[in-house]
Amino acid sequence: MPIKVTIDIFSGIPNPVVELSGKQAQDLIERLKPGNSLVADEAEKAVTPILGYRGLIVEQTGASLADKDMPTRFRVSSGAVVGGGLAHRAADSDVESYFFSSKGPFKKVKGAAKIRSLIQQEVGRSAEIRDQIALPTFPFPIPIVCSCAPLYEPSWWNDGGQKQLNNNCYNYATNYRSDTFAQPGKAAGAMYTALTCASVRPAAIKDELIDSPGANNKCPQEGHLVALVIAPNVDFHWFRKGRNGFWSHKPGGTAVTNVDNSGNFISDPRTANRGIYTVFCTFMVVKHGHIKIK
Amino acid sequence: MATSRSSDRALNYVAGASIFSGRPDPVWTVSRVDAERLKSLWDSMESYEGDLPAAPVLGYRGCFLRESSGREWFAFNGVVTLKTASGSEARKDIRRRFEEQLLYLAPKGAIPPQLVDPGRLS
Repeated sequence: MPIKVTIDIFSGIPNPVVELSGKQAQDLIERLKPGNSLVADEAEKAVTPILGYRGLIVEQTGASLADKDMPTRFRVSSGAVVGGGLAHRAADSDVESYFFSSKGPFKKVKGAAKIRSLIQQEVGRSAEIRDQIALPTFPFPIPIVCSCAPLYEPSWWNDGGQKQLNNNCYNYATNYRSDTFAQPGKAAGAMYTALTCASVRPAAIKDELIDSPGANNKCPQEGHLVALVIAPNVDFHWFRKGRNGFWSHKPGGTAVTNVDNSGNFISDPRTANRGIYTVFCTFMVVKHGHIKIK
Repeated sequence: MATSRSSDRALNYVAGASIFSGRPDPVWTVSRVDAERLKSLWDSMESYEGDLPAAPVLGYRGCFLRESSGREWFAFNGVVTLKTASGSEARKDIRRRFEEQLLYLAPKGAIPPQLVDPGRLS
């Protein structure tokens, strides 16, 4: 009946893990048993990824479960227990304070004494941040407008490390992780020579993107739609259209997002607030498996 | 946060700005003399307790000074944050002096003046 507890806090380095068994495991499970149901958007806030402490991931790892009424994997965040059908307050709503206290299971982590105060601060900070999260609302029901488009999975890209820092808007728009901060035309030996539509567009075509200036924000039959915009003589930027018909993007080494410079969802990149990227260049189609970027 | 200046002699400094999306962001080295000047400015700043200024999704999003010891100062819109292994601390960058001086150290042409004109920051 062992359980594994991952302290979900870091972005670049591996998270600390605590393995518990016997009485210790049972004690923690008892504290985590569901109390009152969460209300309104508390469950969604509890699992919204943030930088810093994001909660405890509890997994029952043994053949015989520590508690068969509890899910095999769930998350604990700011006293909420979420996952595997649970969306409740923990029976001990202060369970994280206990976990990270000098008597709690966290003491089993190598170097615990050195990082305990930092994590305790982070637990408090995380709770404050989660209280303040304003969840954007999508129109409901969400229609699948572009069934061939890539999934919007920002947490996969936003790791704060290798994937996030080494992949830019072109990588994200083409859904092609190269870890090289890809440049249009580079893989084909025909990189753009100026930061203009006239130069970047043919460079992307050399990478096997299909120029579709008349796409008019409509999904293609095959592949997915991307859009090239230009900050004249400064930079280029790409957006990609998702399954729900809305667009998302990754500004350089920063996190993937689905809002524009005004904080609005992007229904059409031609009309979005694009800041310095004032020139809308063209729509293009990415056929999955056809392109090569570097 | 005063530092031991004698131990600082072995440190190296790199600076950069978060601006672009497609192109790699500009990065430049900073001399120890210039870094000391910036650190003195940091030492003179008042503590800041409020929310950090929100940066735009696209466009200039701030600049940083990274010390080879791992410490990093990030400046944006009137607040400088120092990140260390043990945590972070924010201070008021009145008239954006720290940010302005750091951006002035960028090589000519590295930062498009129409995006960030250091002389106009304050």
